[in-house]
Amino acid sequence: MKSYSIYISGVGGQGIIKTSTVMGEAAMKTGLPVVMSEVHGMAQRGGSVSTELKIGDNYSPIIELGSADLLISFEPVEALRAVPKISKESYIILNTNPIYPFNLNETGVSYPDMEDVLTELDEKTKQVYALDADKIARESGHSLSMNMVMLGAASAVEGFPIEKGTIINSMKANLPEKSLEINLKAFTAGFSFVKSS
Amino acid sequence: MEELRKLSNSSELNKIYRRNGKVGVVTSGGAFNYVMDAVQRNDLNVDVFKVTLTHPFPDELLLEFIKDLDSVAVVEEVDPIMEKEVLSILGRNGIQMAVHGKLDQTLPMIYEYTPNIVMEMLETVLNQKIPKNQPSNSDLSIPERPPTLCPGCPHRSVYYTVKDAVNSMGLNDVIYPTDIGCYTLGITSPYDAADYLLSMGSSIGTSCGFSKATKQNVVCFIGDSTFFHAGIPPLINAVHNKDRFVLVILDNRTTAMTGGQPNPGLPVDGMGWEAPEVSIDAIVEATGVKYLRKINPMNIKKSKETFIEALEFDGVAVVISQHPCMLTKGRRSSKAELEVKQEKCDECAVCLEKLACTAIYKDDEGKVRIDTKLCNGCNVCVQVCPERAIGVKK
Repeated sequence: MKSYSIYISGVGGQGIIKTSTVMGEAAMKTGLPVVMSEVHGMAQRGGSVSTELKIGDNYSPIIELGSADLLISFEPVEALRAVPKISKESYIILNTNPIYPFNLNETGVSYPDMEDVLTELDEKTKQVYALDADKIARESGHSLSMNMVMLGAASAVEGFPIEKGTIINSMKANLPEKSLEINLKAFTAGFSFVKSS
Repeated sequence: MEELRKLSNSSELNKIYRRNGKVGVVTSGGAFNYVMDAVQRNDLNVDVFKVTLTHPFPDELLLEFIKDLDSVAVVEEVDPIMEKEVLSILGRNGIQMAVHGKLDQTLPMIYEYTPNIVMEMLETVLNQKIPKNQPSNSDLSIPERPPTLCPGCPHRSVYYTVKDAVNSMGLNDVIYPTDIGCYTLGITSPYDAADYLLSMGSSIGTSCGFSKATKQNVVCFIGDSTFFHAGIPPLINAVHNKDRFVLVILDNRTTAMTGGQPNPGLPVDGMGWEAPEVSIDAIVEATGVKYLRKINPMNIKKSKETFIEALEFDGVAVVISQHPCMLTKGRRSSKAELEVKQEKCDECAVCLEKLACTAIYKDDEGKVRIDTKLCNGCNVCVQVCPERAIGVKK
């Protein structure tokens, strides 16, 4: 198969690494070779976090510049930070809910307007699916299921190489049982959002 | 060593991939992956020698590898160790061949390698273009997002209190050597409590030097696991050489930055088995330190008094700050939710700007608020507020 590269970016604590694990294990279950790399340590301390996944015949998980097929960004500014990894051919799933850096007042750089972020990303890529994933997660039962809204949305993108059912099985194997129902609801809501767009 | 050299030359871990090239690449580790992806995807005529057992270097395999090559490139992270091995083996055998790598600046000495750095290197040595995707770029300027101490982190209280003690004594010359752990994040404003760091244990070692070479006050920080790992020999030196500085040992009973591994100060080992607990204060006392105090960093008033005393002490003063990491399971201090009583708050911003807890923020109307989702209920902000405006939500 043609190699498929996924770049996931966001802020520590948003459940990015968990999302990647669910995706990676689902790929393995499908019998697809998968390599993954992650930034950790920063995860619970509010810094920028990213993971890179390549599905297919690859040695390295690190995505070459301009080569991500799919960018899943859990936060608007983190999507802009990932722009060098994407190209005109990429799809983006964007959570429109901003998280302001704690030191924003000292940086001398203001947080960009959401409209500018969307225009910028629209120009750079094939298609942007922008959703308020935090809101959808709350409506599904808990704000912490936001990462599964994003995963659901990603699973519905054209060309995504893993079946929806395989992802759901991987969720069952990797997520705590007591929150599974909410997470599945969140996943389905994200999936439907992209399908109906 | 001779036996090991034979092993290195016969090991399956050191492997040659032939592609009928005139150019060869000697590589190891993650860099091997970048080389193989570039070579296979673009069907490049490049032979690859993967070295896994790098020392002693497989010299005979290298000679076999370069037999039909015109030039060789060495792709390795950090220092050019293998590159120098290759040069020395070629030299010893009287072989004239171009060796590209970090030493001839075909590859950069700085930066971690990326697929793109490796592809550009291959373009140079092959003198051939490799098709690459055109990356997008954005002109929108975006704010940085550095990591920070967690809400309720005991290190934050220590930094706040040390700074408060230093300011109240009118000291403006303090040097803050630090060490490797979450507390290195003390480098950020408003704490600015990380002036110097070389390697693990250097907080104490360099403090010895600063106290000898300058007349400035020195306050250094080291975590519990780093202290066990590399802090004891320099502390012995400090006492023996009659140095003068304050050493703050931040004992949060875990190795927090790397994910919460146990250290010798805990009654459990890396496998989760029961293990003897090694006492930090017994070690400090045994070195002959004359000033040793233990504080609960969440008690701001008492901690400040201790730091003032320690700064006045003429010798090595050790303060052990004892409070478990907030990320340890079930560490939330209390179930009670805190809030800012708006009628009492005069917006002095001590909590926002000096304590700088990430759970405290200014809302759109400029009112100081507490994000109860982030707040850990540590109560430190309650103590630092001069107007006593922070309290339990009723």
